[in-house]
Amino acid sequence: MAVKSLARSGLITFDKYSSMLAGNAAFDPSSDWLLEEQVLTSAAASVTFSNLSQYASEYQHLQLRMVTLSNGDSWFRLQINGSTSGYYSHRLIGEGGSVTSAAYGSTVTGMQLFGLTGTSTIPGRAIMDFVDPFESSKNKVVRCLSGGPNTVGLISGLWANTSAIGSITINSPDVSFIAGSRFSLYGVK
Amino acid sequence: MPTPKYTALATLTLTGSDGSITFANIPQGYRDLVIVCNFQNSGSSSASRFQLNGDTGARYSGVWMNGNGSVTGSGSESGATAARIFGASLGPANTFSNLGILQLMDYSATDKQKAVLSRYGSAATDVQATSSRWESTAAVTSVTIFDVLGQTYQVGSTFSLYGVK
Repeated sequence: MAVKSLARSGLITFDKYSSMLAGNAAFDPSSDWLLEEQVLTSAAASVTFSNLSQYASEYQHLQLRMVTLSNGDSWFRLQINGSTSGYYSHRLIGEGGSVTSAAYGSTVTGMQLFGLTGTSTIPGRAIMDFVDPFESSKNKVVRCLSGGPNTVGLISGLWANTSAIGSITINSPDVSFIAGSRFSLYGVK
Repeated sequence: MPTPKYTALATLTLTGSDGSITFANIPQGYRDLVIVCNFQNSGSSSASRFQLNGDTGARYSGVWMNGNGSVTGSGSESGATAARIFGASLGPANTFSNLGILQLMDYSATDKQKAVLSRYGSAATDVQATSSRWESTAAVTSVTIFDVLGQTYQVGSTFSLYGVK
């Protein structure tokens, strides 16, 4: 029987550690995780994250962080599960000279997002939180902090539907996101 | 495979009053930066701004809105030498009533100007939201936050920097 002497294997260095980690990094059970990301390499009028049910068992909430370049100044909208109905929202928008408040509901085809458009070099930006997106006992609620070169906005939205969120789409009826735009989806445990 | 989102990069806790704080040599391996500010200031009339990479040129702009319980307001500026984050009247002097969070989006990207979203609140004064911009495509390597009305951040004030993957 061949015997390999570990004394000569090089596996033993006789290093001593004062910590049980033995030189390894501690495991950090983070509560927030980057799930997936889309960075555009060409223009797109619409960006979709789909098959989100895969995250339902591990994550309680979702956050979408967006930095967008666009080919025009317009408004964008959020659509959930491809639905074009059931959206309600309140928004508070600062435009430099005034603060405007508006409410939208029932007739809109998506949750309107303002302050998200920029230009080809000046980014729009938004952080959107989806609270309890996978709960089938609740209508879906969203909040958004957004800003662009000329606006800053706070938006609170509702999708009057208890279905779990399976897809999220950001699109515009008028303009497109262009290359360099980044959409990052995070899960919160 | 999911990646942990937040990495705590640094925290500054003031042991003496100071009119400015700086995070320097910021690593470039993240998508966004988040700075959480919990501070008290030496005077009730105070305004904080930030500069990136030590740039004191007229390359900052922004738009903001605020509400103080009785009125709302909005303003904008361009060509400023620093970007506004927290407006004037930042709460009573020497009380920990000021909380602000800055989000520096795509801070290391070199194909776009730098975009910042910030929110601020003081139960004693008002709530604010600001969209700011640094008109440079350079990656951000340092952030300086300072008071422009001659006030100082007091002992115990904390400023925490996080990287977002």
